[in-house]
Amino acid sequence: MRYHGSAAERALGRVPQGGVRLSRLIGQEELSVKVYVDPERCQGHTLCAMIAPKLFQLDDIDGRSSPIRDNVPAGQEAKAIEAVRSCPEQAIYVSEEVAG
Amino acid sequence: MNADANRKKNRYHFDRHTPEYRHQFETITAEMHAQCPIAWTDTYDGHWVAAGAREVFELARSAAYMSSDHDIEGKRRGYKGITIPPMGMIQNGFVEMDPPEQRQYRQVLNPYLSPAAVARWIPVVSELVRACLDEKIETGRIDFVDDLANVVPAVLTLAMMGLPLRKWSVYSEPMHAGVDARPDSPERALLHERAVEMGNDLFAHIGQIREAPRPGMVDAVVRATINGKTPDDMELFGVLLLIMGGGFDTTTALTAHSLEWLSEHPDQRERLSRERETLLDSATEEFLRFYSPAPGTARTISADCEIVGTQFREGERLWLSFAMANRDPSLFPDPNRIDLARTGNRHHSFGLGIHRCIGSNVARMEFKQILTAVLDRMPDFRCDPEGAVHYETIGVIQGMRHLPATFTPGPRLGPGLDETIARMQHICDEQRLAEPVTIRTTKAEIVH
Repeated sequence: MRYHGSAAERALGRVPQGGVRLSRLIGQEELSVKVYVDPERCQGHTLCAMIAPKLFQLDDIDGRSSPIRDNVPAGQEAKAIEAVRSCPEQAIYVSEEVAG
Repeated sequence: MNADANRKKNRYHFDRHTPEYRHQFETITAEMHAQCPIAWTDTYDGHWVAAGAREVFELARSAAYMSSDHDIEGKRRGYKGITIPPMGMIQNGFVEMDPPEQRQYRQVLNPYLSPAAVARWIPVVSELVRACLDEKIETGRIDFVDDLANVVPAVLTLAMMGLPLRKWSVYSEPMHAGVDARPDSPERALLHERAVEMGNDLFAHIGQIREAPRPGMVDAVVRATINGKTPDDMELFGVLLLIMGGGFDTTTALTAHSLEWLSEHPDQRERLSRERETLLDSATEEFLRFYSPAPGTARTISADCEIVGTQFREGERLWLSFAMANRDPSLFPDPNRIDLARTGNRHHSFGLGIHRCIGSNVARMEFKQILTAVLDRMPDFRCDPEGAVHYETIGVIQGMRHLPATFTPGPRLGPGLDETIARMQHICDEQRLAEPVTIRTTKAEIVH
């Protein structure tokens, strides 16, 4: 499993750097892209849902974000990465996992 | 060199309350980023200044070592809140509290301010904007601050609080004056007078709403249990001032600066209007980044710690400059340029961490409503640079007092402002619009 986004990278001891390119992997059917929101870090800035309304939903009561589904649908990968790059709290990360 | 001097070896003379700071903002910012993204300054009894994006990010999110407490009565540790120098004799609501009280207040207010809660108000804001523009549309002249950007946020904030809409100017004038004055200026004295007048009105409403429930944020905090007890009137007063301070001047500042820039860049204005479906969100975030209406916040170090390579001692004061972090070239390429389509724009304009601006959804919604209405109805507006008055200093709010503009006149679409405010009051009351989203989920319905 490979992580992108600083919350996970920090946990794995990697240097945080938003905006990792996934294009290398897009189209390779054996990999699926998953998206996560760290609920401890999210403060409800709402940028992710603005950028990728098909990927993130905001809580009605406090506006905190969560993925609508773990798997990023085909064609939405770039939006997922832009959400990672734009999160003020760096609370979002995406991973590529071997499907199945 | 002794240990203390060594800790503070990165020094910078920093005084954000001077006009020079406003005039040389980009130079000072670039200097600090290059030389000392965290610096010690001797101004205002000495304090730290964080200017770098990484530094501000890490410090703002280190709540365990950073206190926002404003301990007016000296009951706790005597901390001085989130302004440098310390201001006023009132704790400025939960922005000058630490958890758990801070968290509990936010939990009480979130259902009034979440994206879903704010969306319910769009038809009301749209009507208020329409009425403000109708007041001026036939004349070809408007002051974007006095006639529009001061009015809409103030009226909406009062509506959400459950206060009478027609009283917006009683509250708006002292709230704007309060942030547009240097700590030692004569305006402060005048402000005090107006604040007393406004305070009397607000205290009266606290009493009335305590007796007779009425939908809105005042009702919510009056009936709240915070840390096991009911807040007293002084504490509530501070909380309500915070809601108004946050709701009034910041959105005004963002709107005015953005309209001024668009007037100076007609090609970009045309592009934004034409491509608003794809550009409006990113342009809004870019204006937020660039103009940073609330330029920063202070903290008191609550325990000795080392963060981003600097050793801090308990009791030291720290200024977190969101405005300077927003111009850090390591995070924002070409930071002093406005790029309406900027990506990766994780700006700091609403703050970071547990104190993130609770009204950010309101600000964005109002801004977009105002901006698109102006683009539609006054597409060729030209701001008058001679008449534009910026706040002399940007230490508290990066705002504007006046922004006169001319445009090709057009037809009115409906009733004027006073009549519209009266109608919106009626709709607020009848539809109980100021209920939290947990009680009322549907949008306001404007009946003509």
